[in-house]
Amino acid sequence: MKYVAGIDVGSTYTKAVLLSPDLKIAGRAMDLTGYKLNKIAEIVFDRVLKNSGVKAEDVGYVLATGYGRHRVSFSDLTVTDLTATARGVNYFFPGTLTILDIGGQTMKASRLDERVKVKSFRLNDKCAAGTGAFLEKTARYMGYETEEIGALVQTSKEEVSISGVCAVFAESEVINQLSLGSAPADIMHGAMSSLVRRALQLLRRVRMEAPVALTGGIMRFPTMASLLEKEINQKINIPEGELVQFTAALGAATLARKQLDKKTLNAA
Amino acid sequence: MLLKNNSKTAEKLLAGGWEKQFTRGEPRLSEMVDLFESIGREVQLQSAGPGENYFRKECESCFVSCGNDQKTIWTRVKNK
Repeated sequence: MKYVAGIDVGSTYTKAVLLSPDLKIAGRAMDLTGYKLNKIAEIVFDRVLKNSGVKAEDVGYVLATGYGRHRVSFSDLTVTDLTATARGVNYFFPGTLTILDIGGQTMKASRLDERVKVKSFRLNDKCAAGTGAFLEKTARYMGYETEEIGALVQTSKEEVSISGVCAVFAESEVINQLSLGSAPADIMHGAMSSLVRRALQLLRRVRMEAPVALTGGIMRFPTMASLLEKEINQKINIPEGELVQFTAALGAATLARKQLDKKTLNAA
Repeated sequence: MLLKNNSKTAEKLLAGGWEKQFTRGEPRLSEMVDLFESIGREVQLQSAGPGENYFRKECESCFVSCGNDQKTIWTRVKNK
């Protein structure tokens, strides 16, 4: 039996997951996407092989997803990130009916049926307002890196009210709050709350139904997840640790497994 | 056919059972249209350029600088 791989070329990060023949995660790798989409897909794929000690010829099927999926020249098939995320969430939490996925440039809410098919979905409107880019810019305006956001916001004592989610106008709002003496942690807390309000609007529009799962890079910040859990007012499921960023790649890998099994059956 | 961006168009669409989804530009726009069609919905696109329902004033400079390929997606269940 061969291994299979899922590659998610997202707007900010490219992720790869390798699944063993018995559907265990054999390895994962991630890097910034940049603008050479096929190149970064190759780099991340090579890295996941190296990390897991698997040879390229032992991989029987590669399935690509994410906004840059059509640029992955070595993939056997592509699927939308909504479909891949649904499959990835189902791997961790079977029976999930609603997914909220917040990435670097998109916020997506989707409703699934019992067969893990996307029934309805909503995307953030028009631009990257209300996505990971908004939090990244807010942090940068205060002199923090993206990876420092999680630790920073956990030191917040009091949330500062942030009205919008526009990454451009965040600068003037941040400067204004800093000049008023607000702490960066409290400003970041306010920015996350603003994002949560936007997420709730999307979830209502897809008629959210439990069980609910959260995925995407933003969910690696525990404060974001706990704010959402409080507002949604019910238990939510989140893939553990860094896996929250690999959900779509993992889903693509599970679909790759199905495709490979089908191919093998047809060949027999 | 691309529908005009005015309130009459929106009224007609709503009366015909269409539901306004969201506004996006390419490459996401085509992908979302495909996805809506794959879940059994008819799709119509409405211009999101200058018109009665243009973006909020503070957003205009972004959209002018990014080009004008944004369209609003309207959908309804097929055969309605």
